[in-house]
Amino acid sequence: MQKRTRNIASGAFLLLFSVAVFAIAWQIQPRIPVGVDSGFFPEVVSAVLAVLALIILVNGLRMPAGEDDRALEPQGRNAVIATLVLITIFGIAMAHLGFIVAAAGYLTAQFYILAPREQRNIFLFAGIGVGAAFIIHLIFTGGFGVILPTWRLG
Amino acid sequence: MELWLTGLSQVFTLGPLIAIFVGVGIGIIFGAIPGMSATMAIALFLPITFGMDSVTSLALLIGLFTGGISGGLITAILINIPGTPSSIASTFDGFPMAQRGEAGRALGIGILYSFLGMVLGCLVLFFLAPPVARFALQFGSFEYFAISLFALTLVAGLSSGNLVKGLASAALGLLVAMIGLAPIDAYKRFTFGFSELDGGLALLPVLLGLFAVSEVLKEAETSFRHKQTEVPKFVLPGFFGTNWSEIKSQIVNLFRSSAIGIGVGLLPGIGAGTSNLLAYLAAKNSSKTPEKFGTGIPDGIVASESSNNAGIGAAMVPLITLGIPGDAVTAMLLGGFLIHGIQPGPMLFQSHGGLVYSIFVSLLLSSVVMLGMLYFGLRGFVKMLSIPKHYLLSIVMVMCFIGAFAVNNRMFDVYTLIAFGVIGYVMLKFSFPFPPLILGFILGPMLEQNLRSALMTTRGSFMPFFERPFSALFLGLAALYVGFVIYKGIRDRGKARQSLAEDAAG
Repeated sequence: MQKRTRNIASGAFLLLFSVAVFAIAWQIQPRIPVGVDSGFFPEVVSAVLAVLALIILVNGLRMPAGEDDRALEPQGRNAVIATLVLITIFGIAMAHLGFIVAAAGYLTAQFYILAPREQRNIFLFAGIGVGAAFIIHLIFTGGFGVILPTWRLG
Repeated sequence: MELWLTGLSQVFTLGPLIAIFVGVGIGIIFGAIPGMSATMAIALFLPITFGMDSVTSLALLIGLFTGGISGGLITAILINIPGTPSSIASTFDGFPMAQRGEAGRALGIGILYSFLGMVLGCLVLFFLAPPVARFALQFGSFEYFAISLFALTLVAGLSSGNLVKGLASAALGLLVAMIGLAPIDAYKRFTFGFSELDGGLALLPVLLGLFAVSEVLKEAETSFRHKQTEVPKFVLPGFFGTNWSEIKSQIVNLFRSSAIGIGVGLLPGIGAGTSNLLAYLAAKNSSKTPEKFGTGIPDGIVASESSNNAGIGAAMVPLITLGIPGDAVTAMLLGGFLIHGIQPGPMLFQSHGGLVYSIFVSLLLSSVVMLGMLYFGLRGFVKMLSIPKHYLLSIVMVMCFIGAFAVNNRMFDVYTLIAFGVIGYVMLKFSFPFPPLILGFILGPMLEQNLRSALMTTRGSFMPFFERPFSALFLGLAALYVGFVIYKGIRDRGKARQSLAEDAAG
């Protein structure tokens, strides 16, 4: 993505966001008779953000079109998307399958996605993933007294 | 003196001593591995401190801070990749020395001057913090609002070099902090009917999402290209690769560089990532042989490593005395204080005097531990560099999930972590800096509380903010800074246009 496109996109998004926040803050009813109410601070901050967003947007529009300076290689882009999908599944799975099962599955898949192609070994990754999930669970629950989710299905 | 003894007796017990050793060791590993940092280390280890007493947990966090800043020199010198931005300048002379077969000597010098710089920074903290805290006792809502606003403005401008994006990031942080019950009248804001949002977003999932999850996503972009790190062989020579006459010749460099590190550490927003470069430039400019810099001389390593470590103690001054963190790492430390119900600020010296001095002792002790651990355990840390990144990053992610869940034992915080991980990654791609968002998130409630309290006493009038000397001073400094950055931007743009016109004409 070009720097120009980045600035236009982020400026436009922040402008819309700040207008939405301002509209919500405007509806806050005053509860105290002196000073300022709870809507004052969000109104001021969202107004400031709107001005800043406008500056970013205008700066972007005035920039000359250039080359794409942050293009990702397809492998890199796929790894990022796969990691995003994986962490979302891990988050949902942790709530239902418990920490150990979810973490073992996540680690196995994540090792595979992040490893260079020539180093990929699913059996090795599964072994390390299961072992690491057990050890991490043991250290945090047994050693530090942290409570972690347990199996909730069936 | 009594408080020093209390601090000593609190730290020299088994728990805090183990915490310092573990913290420094893990911090060095995080500092040494590119892509990991002191900030990430502290964020990941915050949940572990939940079950600890406050002295042990702060000792652990201080150890991580010290190790995280110091560990960067290993990769900077051995493979020309600084583990953290605080060691960028160490590559300039450290790596050429390593290429000449003097890696051990370069590492020894780096370790020794990291220690000396840190001790000097700690001395500044010990002597400066108590009087600043005593002075700050007279501050009220007006002054706290002004100081917080000044810190936020400075961080916004300095952390990215782009004031507009920095300020936008800070404004986003302030808005995120407004979710939940408002101060003073407990009005529910931006909760959209979700009861989980009534108490606002928890600090830790936001921190972990921004600093750790987004970093893992960024590393994923290039992870398929990772090759085994080739580390040159080295031998650590006796007494840190230096001798008494060389130490004497570096005294001015040490003090000048440490002074730069201390000055930068005291100011919000700049951080060790800049101080090491400033100190390197200062050393080069005042040298009789500036042409030798960059060819592999100890002076460059001395400047870089003493300045970045001197900033550690100095950065604690505004945090402990005013409760205002100056950068992302100290914001994490503030999170550590708040998790244990401790509010840093001038009253801390009265309410938890022993704890303040235990922080002082922990800092000093962690510098000694860092010196010993780096010197005697260097080979072990270097071996850690050979652990493939796909294992490290995946395990870091799992620890982020544990950290987020452990805050309140609820999945909502895990979803917050994922959301802020994505927000952080998008911010990285669009060149918006994180530190202003974090500072805005942390300082937001303080800013609003103080503003509204002050305006209640003045019946809505803003004039007293400009009539009270310190409030007026800090508001004026914030305005001056913004004005200066705008002026500089216009001037630079004018210069760029002029050079373009000259190029076109010529």
